[in-house]
Amino acid sequence: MEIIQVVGLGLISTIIILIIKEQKPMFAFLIAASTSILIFLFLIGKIGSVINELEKMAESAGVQMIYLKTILKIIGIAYIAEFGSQIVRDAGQESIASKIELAGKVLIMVLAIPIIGIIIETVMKLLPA
Amino acid sequence: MSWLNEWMREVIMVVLLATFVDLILPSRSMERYVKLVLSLLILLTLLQPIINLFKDSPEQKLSAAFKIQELNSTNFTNGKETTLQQILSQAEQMKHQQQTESLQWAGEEVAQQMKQQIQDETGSLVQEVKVILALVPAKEANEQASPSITSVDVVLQQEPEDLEGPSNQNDHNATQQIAIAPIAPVEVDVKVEPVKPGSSPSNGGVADKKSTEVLSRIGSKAEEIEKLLRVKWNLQSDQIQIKQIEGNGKI
Repeated sequence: MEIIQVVGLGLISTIIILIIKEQKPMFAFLIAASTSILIFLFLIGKIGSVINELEKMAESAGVQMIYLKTILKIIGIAYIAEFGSQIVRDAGQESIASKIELAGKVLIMVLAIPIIGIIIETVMKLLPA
Repeated sequence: MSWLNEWMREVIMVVLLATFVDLILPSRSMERYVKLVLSLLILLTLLQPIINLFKDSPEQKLSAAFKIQELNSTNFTNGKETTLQQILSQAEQMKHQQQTESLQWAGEEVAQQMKQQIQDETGSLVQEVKVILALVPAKEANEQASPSITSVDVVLQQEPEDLEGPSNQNDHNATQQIAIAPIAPVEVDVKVEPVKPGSSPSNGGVADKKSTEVLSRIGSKAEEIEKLLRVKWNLQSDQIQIKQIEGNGKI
């Protein structure tokens, strides 16, 4: 029944924000940010169990841990960048939100660099010199 | 086929993980980038056998194999490091052992032949012939060390006449076994010492003198055998020892 808790928390915070927004927009932003952080913290435990399960699965299947680590890093970067950019966007700072998203994209691309390097090296070896 | 099995499993797992990640991605904006990285990962997994083919160069494999060998050999010698010196000394030991064994074997063969000869030529019963061979060091550099006879021990059985007068030699063995200690256990061995006290070592006629010193009872027999051996085997008389065994088997 966790989903009811999450939805209830979200609805209550939305109503409060709607009421407060006219008088104190500053507090409205704070409530929105804290609500999203609360939901995120609430979900962290679940995410942890899912990741543990994935790790166990990959280990038993004999997948190299470097692959799993890369995939998990991608998920983490995507989630954190999304979270931050949405909060900033709620505050009305569209440009900063887009910069955070850019940072997330660049960091994901950085993860791809060693993989690209290995693939290109292999292809160069395959080609006759 | 195990590598194929492993490879297939890895590909399937990576594709499953990639699909899962694609599902739980938060936003559309990241999707393209994440998909690029995931597809690169899948491509890498697919290329894994080819990468392995190129990654391990023969030199690396060789060095790894050498390391394993080294490890095994150190385990074999209980952790001691095997050096070239140790190996060489072991080889020397083995060579020495082989040489002694072959010398022993050759000595036994020669003894057999001598026994046969003595029995054929003199007609006396021979209990045992012991021949000790030794390697004579090479005089010249290109010459190999050759074995030579250092000493010959001949043990004679008691003559039939001594025990029960003239009798058949074939009967002798049987009757001798039955007769237990017919005479007192007196040592009657004829021993030719290498150097006699009183006789000068440089004397050329030592051998003849010695042969006259044998006990009178079997002296002629011993002399005969000694002469035979000297002639046939080119031996010095101080290398020959002739003993006679008593009826009860005591020397």
